[in-house]
Amino acid sequence: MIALTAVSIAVLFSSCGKIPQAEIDAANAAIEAANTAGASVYVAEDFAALQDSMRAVNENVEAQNGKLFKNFDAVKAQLAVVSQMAADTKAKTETRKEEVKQEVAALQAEVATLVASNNELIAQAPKGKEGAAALEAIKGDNGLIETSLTEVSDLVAAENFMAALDKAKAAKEKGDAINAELSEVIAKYAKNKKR
Amino acid sequence: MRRLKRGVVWGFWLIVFIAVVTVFAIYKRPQPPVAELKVAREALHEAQKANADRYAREAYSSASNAYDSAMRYWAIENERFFLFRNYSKVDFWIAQAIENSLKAGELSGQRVALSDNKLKEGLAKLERQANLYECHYKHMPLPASVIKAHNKGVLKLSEAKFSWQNKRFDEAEGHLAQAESLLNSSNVKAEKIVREWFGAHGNWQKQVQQAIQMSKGGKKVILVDKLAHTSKVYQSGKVIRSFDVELGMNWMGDKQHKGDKATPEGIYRITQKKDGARTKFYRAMLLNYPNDDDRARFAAAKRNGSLPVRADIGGLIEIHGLGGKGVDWTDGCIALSNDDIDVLYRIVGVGTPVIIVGSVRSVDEILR
Repeated sequence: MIALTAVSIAVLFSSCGKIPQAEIDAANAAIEAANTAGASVYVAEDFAALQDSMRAVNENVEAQNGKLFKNFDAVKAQLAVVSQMAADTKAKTETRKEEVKQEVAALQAEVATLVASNNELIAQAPKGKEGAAALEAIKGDNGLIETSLTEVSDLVAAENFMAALDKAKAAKEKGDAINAELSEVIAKYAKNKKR
Repeated sequence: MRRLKRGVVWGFWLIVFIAVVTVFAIYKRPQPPVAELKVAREALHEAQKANADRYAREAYSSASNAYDSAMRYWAIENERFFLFRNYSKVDFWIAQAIENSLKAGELSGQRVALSDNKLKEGLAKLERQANLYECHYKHMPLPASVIKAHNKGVLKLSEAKFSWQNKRFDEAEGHLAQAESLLNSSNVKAEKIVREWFGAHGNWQKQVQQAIQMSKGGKKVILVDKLAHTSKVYQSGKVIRSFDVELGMNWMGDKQHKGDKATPEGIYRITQKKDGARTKFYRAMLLNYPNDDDRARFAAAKRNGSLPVRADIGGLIEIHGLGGKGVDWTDGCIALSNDDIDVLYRIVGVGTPVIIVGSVRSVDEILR
């Protein structure tokens, strides 16, 4: 009877009193995965909350470590929550990242269309010396947008979507301005030609 | 028996004493600073929320390291027998973590506010600079390198604006610095070119006065202001008609030689009027370019080597129709819309003086 009680107590202490290292490692790995996915960039507040939660768990681990009769059951439950939080944060990061990626892709397509449309307008524009005079500078401008578009592609390839987004937005703004300017030049020329 | 009884009593009191001492020791054992550590962690979290890890990196890093040190010393103390634990080092690092976190949060807030303000002002300033270029220099035939620098600057400025709007201040500052360098360079170079051209302004002013003077006897005089892109007809010292004009693609500066696409500057007169099949520009009035001054200047330029020996001075500078395109497109002629050339063709004749100046207004008035 005494032996049985001793074994039971031993089992009880061995199950509750051991640091849940596997769970801690899993939670840290999940946090690192979220970070690698870009959580600190795309969902910075969520990532900060996640790191704070993990720190709180580590404090609880040490609090139990300092006790004579350790019980990590609560810690394990917290670790499960943190791991889930990390997985959610990673998923949220990927969703946000995908949204930004899609936004960049949409802008890239829009700017590419704009560049093509601008090139078409340049082709339609008055030929001869008057055309050259009007369009030489604009052609250069359109070339800059094309260069910018290549830089956006490089940033996308490097998964730097936020920087790519700024660049793509800037390229679109400039592309729109060129388009408007070209249309104005051509309209003015066409109006004069009718006379 | 009495000795045994005394022994039991002593034993009892000894156990009681040990028990009391043990309970007292447990009760008075050093306690880990759990609540303080929580405060440190929360302070660190607040600093992180204030973007201190980005905008006050050093201070945040110190705070984070201090917190980690506190945790490490707590773990070390936990290895000791509970009665011999000493949390003074943990306390020290907690205090450091709290202090540095507060500092980092504050610093980050200040830097963000400063950066936000700096960017706001910088963007507004550079937008003004870009607008200044658009207003004064955009339609000038400037070197390709100046135009390219301006256009690149405008793109960078736009990037800076979007980074700023997305609250990515450090990147916005980087873009803004690049935009500033490009826009400054293009504006400075453009202004230098314009001011150099305006070196002849004194002469232009005299020619303008001459034009007005010449018209005072009732004679019609045409005064072309290249910068303003206008052609005014003076009679009796007053402007009787004004037309918009388009010039040579490279209109800024005096004409040097054939093919430079510059519109000449100087005092000319109409030598011939053409219409119908005699011109491909609807209606035209030929000027006596090159005049004696042009020839002398051209010869001097050849002599001093600034023009090649085989260079041609050119000719066939006209005031003609087919203008109104909104761009400077001629090889050096002055183009008016067909409606305007009809009027001008009707009111002036062969021999009418045509005075072409760079600008009536001074450079300071223009760039004000």
